[in-house]
Amino acid sequence: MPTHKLDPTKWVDKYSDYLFNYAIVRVNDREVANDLISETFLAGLNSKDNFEGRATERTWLISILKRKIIDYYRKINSIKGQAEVRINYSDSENNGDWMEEQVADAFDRTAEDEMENNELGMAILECLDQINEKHAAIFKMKTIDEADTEAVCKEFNISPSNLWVIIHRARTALAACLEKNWF
Amino acid sequence: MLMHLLLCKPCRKYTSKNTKLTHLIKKSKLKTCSEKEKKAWKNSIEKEMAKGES
Repeated sequence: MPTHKLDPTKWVDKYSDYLFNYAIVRVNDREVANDLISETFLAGLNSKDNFEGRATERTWLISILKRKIIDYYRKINSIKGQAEVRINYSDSENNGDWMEEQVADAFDRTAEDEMENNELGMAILECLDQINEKHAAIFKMKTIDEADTEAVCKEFNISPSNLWVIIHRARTALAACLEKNWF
Repeated sequence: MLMHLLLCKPCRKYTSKNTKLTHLIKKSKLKTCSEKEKKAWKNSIEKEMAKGES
């Protein structure tokens, strides 16, 4: 069985976007997600001697982040006290058949769609993790952050034609990876 | 371009895949961290590592 090694100096470049997307959909707050990721990295460093190498670095960091997210919710629940569910029946707009109006719409797929989109996002990042590091960084900046061609070329010191070749290669590799892992 | 796609099967296939990929990327609503955030994390990791070494 292959054993994996930890390299904390590369954690931010390699995993921060993945961890961030994982956290943001669960806490829905950019600042909280940032704090949780920061805590994850520090907890990872402090417990790096416990890493046995059976899981990948990313899986190991995600398991730490999961615990941090659970701790976060425990903490806010203990601050708020007992969770309360309030249903406002006296809403003037809901006069009439209020009982029917409270029933969930069986055809509303918003939650499922959101979940599927999040999983798709993680699958895309996993695939990007498998391609050339520089190509992945350029692809993220150009396609996900929608940066100008000029800005990307300046940042990576490449020509526009070089940029489009890299984007083309990254897209081809990404499509092949998604074809294998997503569909 | 459209005429070319009508006649060229490989390009048609490539365009279809490319369009599908664009759609998937948009649908995923992926977010990336800013350089400022990444720098702050890198600094805190470096600090913690230096602490561990000393």
